[in-house]
Amino acid sequence: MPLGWLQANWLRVKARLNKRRLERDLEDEIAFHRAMREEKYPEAGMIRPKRASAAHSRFDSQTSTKEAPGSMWTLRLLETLWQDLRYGARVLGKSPGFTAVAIITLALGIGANSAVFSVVNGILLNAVPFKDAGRLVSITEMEPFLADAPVSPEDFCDWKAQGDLFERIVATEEWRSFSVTGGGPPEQIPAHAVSTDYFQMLGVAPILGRDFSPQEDEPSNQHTALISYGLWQRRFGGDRGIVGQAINLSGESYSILGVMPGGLKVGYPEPAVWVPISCQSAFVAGSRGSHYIGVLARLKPGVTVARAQAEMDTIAQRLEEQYPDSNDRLGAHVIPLSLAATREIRPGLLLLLSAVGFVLLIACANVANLQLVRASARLREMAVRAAIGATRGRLVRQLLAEGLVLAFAGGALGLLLAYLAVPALAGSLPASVTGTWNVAVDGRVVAFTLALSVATAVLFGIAPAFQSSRPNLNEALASSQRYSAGSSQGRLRSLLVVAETALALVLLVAAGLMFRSFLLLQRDDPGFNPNNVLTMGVSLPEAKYPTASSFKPEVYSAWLNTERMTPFFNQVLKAIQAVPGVTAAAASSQLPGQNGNSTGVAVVGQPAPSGGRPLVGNYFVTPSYFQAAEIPLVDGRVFAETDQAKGPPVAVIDRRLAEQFFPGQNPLGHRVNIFGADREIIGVVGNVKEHGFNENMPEIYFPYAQAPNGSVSLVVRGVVDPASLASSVTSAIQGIDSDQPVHDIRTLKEIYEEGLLSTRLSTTLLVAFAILALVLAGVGTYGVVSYSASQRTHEIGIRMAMGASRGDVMGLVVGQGARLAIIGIGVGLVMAFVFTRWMASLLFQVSPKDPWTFAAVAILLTVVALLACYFPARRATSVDPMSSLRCE
Amino acid sequence: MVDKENRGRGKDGELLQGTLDMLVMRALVRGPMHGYGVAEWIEQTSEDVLRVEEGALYPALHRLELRGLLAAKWGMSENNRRAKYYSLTPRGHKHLAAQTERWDRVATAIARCLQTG
Repeated sequence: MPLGWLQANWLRVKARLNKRRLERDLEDEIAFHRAMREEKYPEAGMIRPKRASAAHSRFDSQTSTKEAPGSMWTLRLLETLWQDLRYGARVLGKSPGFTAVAIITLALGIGANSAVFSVVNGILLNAVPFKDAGRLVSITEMEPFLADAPVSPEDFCDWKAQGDLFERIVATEEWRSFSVTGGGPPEQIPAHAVSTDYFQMLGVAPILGRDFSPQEDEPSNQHTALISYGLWQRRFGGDRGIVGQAINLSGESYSILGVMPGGLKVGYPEPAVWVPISCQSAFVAGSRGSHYIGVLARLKPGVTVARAQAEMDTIAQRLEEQYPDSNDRLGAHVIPLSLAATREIRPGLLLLLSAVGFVLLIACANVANLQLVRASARLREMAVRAAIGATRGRLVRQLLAEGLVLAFAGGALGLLLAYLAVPALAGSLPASVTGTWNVAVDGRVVAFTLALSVATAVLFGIAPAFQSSRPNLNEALASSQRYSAGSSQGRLRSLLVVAETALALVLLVAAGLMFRSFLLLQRDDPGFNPNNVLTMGVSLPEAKYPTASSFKPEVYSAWLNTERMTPFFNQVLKAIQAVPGVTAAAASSQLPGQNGNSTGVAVVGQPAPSGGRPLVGNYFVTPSYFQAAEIPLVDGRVFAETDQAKGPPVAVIDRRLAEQFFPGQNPLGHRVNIFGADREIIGVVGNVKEHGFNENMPEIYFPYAQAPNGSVSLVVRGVVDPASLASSVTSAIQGIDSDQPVHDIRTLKEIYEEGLLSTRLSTTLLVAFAILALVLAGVGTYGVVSYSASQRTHEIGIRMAMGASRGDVMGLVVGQGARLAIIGIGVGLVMAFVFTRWMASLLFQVSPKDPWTFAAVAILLTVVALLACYFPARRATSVDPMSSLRCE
Repeated sequence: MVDKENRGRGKDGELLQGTLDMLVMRALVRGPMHGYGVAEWIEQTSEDVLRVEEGALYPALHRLELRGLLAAKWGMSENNRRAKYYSLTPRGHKHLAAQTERWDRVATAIARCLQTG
């Protein structure tokens, strides 16, 4: 048989290769045929004589002889396919039960995949929605605690001057904000400060007015701004004459150059205004050690990331040699922007994608099993058709077409389910994700669903189709409908059950690990107490990060200067403390756990470590901060009113810093040099877990009074639900200055939990998929055991007649199912062992090989499998031996 | 008998592709023949009831050849024309025997159904 098959296919291949020659041959043949006929019937020519008999049967083809040669070799696929699909639909309509179950199973599998793909499509495939996104890269510096850290402005300017492989390189400062007063109530708006060719690099043009130009590189021209579409509509009523008008930002007047289009996904929160920065700004000088700039660049066409990285390595090396104090081991890291933007969310998404893939495979296995069962009932039909002359290929095509009908129906239903589910899914994503990406069911998702449906049809259809169209249907017809479990069909079914059990186990293990990890994450002590704390931002008109102009003392706002900041906030805090229900109030440069600033520190009296100044996080806080945030004091003292601006510079460090810089010693009394001054360590507090990558960064705290800053976050602890305090606190502040806006009023718990949001979402989804997989696998096991038990009715009847007890029979049936389950669980455990390794980055304090999870899942799956076998087994024992013997 | 194989070409009296294959192979059981010869044999043996047109015959011959049931060779015809001769391969012989037996069984069954009730 194999040789014949080879022979046949070799001829097919030869035919395809020699197409032209064969066509010519055919023409010769037909010419000969006609010539011969003309000799016999010369008077007829091309027309054959009509016969009187009406009972003529002609072997004919619809197509004319001329067409036949070509179509012989071309597959008339579409014609037959359409026929097959219609026939398939008719046949399926005759077994509504099977069809319904199959379609629902497929809909769940395909629908889940479509939904997850919508998210993947929106985030990973469309990560950077700008022109030529492939050439956009982000460049960061490397710090000991942070692989990709913000860049210092002076480093950026040097890169710009020395870099050769970039078409454009721009700097961005994304965490600025301004207070706006004109055109409505005072409001704090988020802003980005960007290089003047930023929008040109992204390929975005203003809808009104003009973009920044090299003109705005001049410090004197930097009081210009581009406003967002939203701001334009909200505060200026969409006034088309807005270009050239002035806008008052934090007390300074900026000239509006243009309006940017809406819906720009340039970051979260979406900026309402852009101001220019350039290397000619005075603020750049002296900023070598401060890292707060983001750098984006567009590679020249044809330049690879690797080449750019090599060039940046050289430049960074040069800078390290020039400035060993600040730049040692800083380096430069070039990453494609699409990777950088999705770095945090990528592993979770890929995990979910794999999970739904598994669910689909299990669904396919179930439908394949259903097909097999149904096929054995259609054996006679297949046999008759084969006898009439249908080739095996024809039968297979027919069965695959039926599978396609099922898959398309399931896919359509699944797409509908996804369409309904995706908005809810998108809604539960954290705002930082939805603000940056669009998640929706779009054309690409539909195309994906279509392709997946076809693939699914092939997957679950191919084995049953080949099984059912076997050439020796003789034996199928001859024997009764009995099929022992040892038959090839039975073996295939068993294999499918083992496979889906294994897949379900892997998925359950993954879900179990994520669940445990999430629980631990939730219960993890952040180092402060996020409950009952209200926070809000207050930004005084003169912001901390100086613009080019603010270095000139005379341009300080006449309204407020740094000397007045401390007393202002002292007043504010006192007023807030007086509000009933408030136990502590403080101001801080950042909220606890939300620090993004780092700077270099050196210990006075210790030799500088070889890597240059290590970076630590820094907070500027008022004395009651530690009380308000409930950060425990470990040693020494916290700040007091006596730590004034004019007093000796002091600092409080956290335990990590103490352990790192003063191992085994008492750090109190030692001095550290940071921000250009020596400060004495007066206290040690507990560690605070930071949100984001630099989770374990050592922290150092300074008294706000010794380095006041116009932009602070207020931390207000209350005895009652903090949200209820919001209005009283706000009025307390406005009692001091009625023009001062507050912004971002939120509870600390909200902010803290937002960090957990995406983990919570992905864990929930993973658990849901795992449960779905468990149900499907259980149903699949039940189906196979049930069917094989019903096939063995005869055998069971004999056994019972010969004295087998109910228990024996049950053992027989359950034993078969249990055997399959055990094998499946075993294979699954091995697979899980191999696969969960890739989850390690997503797990918090849980090992990917955690034995408890593995054991628990194995037990769960065994129980479910046994349950699935129990019911068919019970039914088998209730068989009346006499009737079963009579059955055949 | 419902014509399932060639739906869409439902003309009364059209017979099935599989059956044609069987007849073609039967024609070649005695020895090699060219295409025209096969058509003639079928016509004569069926006493003019079955008539094969080129458009059906040659696809059948080539199909059987691709399946390895027939072997083909160019040769000279009786009137000195170049013609392609087909012969049954051993596999073809086996296949024909199986097909014939199946056909017999089905035909008998049908006949039985048509006679009763």
